[in-house]
Amino acid sequence: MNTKKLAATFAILMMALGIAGFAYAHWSETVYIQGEVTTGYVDLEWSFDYILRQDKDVAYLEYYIEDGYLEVGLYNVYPCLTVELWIDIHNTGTIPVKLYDYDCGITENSTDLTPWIEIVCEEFYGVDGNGDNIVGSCEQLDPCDSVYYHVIIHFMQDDGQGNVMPEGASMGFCAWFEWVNWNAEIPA
Amino acid sequence: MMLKKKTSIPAIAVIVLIGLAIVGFSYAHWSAYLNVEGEVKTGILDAAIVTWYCDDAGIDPGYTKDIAQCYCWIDEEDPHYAYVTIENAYPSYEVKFTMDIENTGTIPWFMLTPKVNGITLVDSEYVDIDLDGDGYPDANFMYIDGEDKQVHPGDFVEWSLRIHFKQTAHQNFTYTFTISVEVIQWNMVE
Repeated sequence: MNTKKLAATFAILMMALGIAGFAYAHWSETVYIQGEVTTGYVDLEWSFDYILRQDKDVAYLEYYIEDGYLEVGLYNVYPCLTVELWIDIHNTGTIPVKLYDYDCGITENSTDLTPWIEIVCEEFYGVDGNGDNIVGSCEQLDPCDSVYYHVIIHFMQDDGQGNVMPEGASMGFCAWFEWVNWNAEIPA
Repeated sequence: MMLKKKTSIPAIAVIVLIGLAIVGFSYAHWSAYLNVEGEVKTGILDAAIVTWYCDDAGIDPGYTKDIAQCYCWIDEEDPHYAYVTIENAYPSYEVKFTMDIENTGTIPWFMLTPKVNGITLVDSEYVDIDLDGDGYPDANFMYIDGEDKQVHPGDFVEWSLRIHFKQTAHQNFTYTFTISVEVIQWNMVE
């Protein structure tokens, strides 16, 4: 490298440093905010209970419950049988929840006996964490609160149109519920 | 005799010149000094957080229940640091913070746009921030006001920050973030 090139390189370097020095040559101070955020969680537990009102052990019920899914099978049912069902949904999370969607239906490979079913009583009520009834709507379920669905169904001999309840039939039904955080927007 | 006289004149001249030179040398040392003694004290550029609070003191802002909790405090030993802890946050929870930064130095300064984890915010616009690096924004931050204000020593600037949690935030998770606010000397702002 000859002397001219060295001189030019040196001059450019000096200019660059000068410019950088100009840019950085200011006093500054910085303040900081340290943040920590812990999110809550949505969680629910639910339980199922039942009573078959019969003097003899003829009809029987089996159920399967996991997460948000409940499947109930009623076997060897007969006319005039009365069944009581309780579904207890408990908010075990830290965020209030509301019912976003649900569905229920007849399970596969079962006989739809709904035309012969009469809902005698259906109750829906809420209880807060202290065991007191929730006044007003149960649309929102706060942490530690529970809602109870109490359904009494009765199997009828006749569906009201002269059709007799089929013999040898078994019926299964299922239901699922989806709950979301209380402030989520639910499409109309 | 005549020859003797001619020879002594230059000698006298030389002697005189030497004498004058000596005298002149002496005079060349006459001088006067004006001394300027300088002392420069540089100023101090400093800032301190003097106010820091959020608008969630109970019922969650915009809602009817107290679900999330927000706590703010300033480091008592080093007011360059402030802290915020939010507990039980959930999607769409939004909280507004207000901060006053006082000029505790001797030089006016300007506040620059705050940064969250190194990402520069935008005035009055939400900026999505991926706090945990999973590729999805967990919250968005909005910075309001405070920029382009010259703050003189003893004065303070007030600015606000909004944090809004998104649906993509994880449940039962802890996020951490650092917000940095730089102030620079007043005459270096372009």
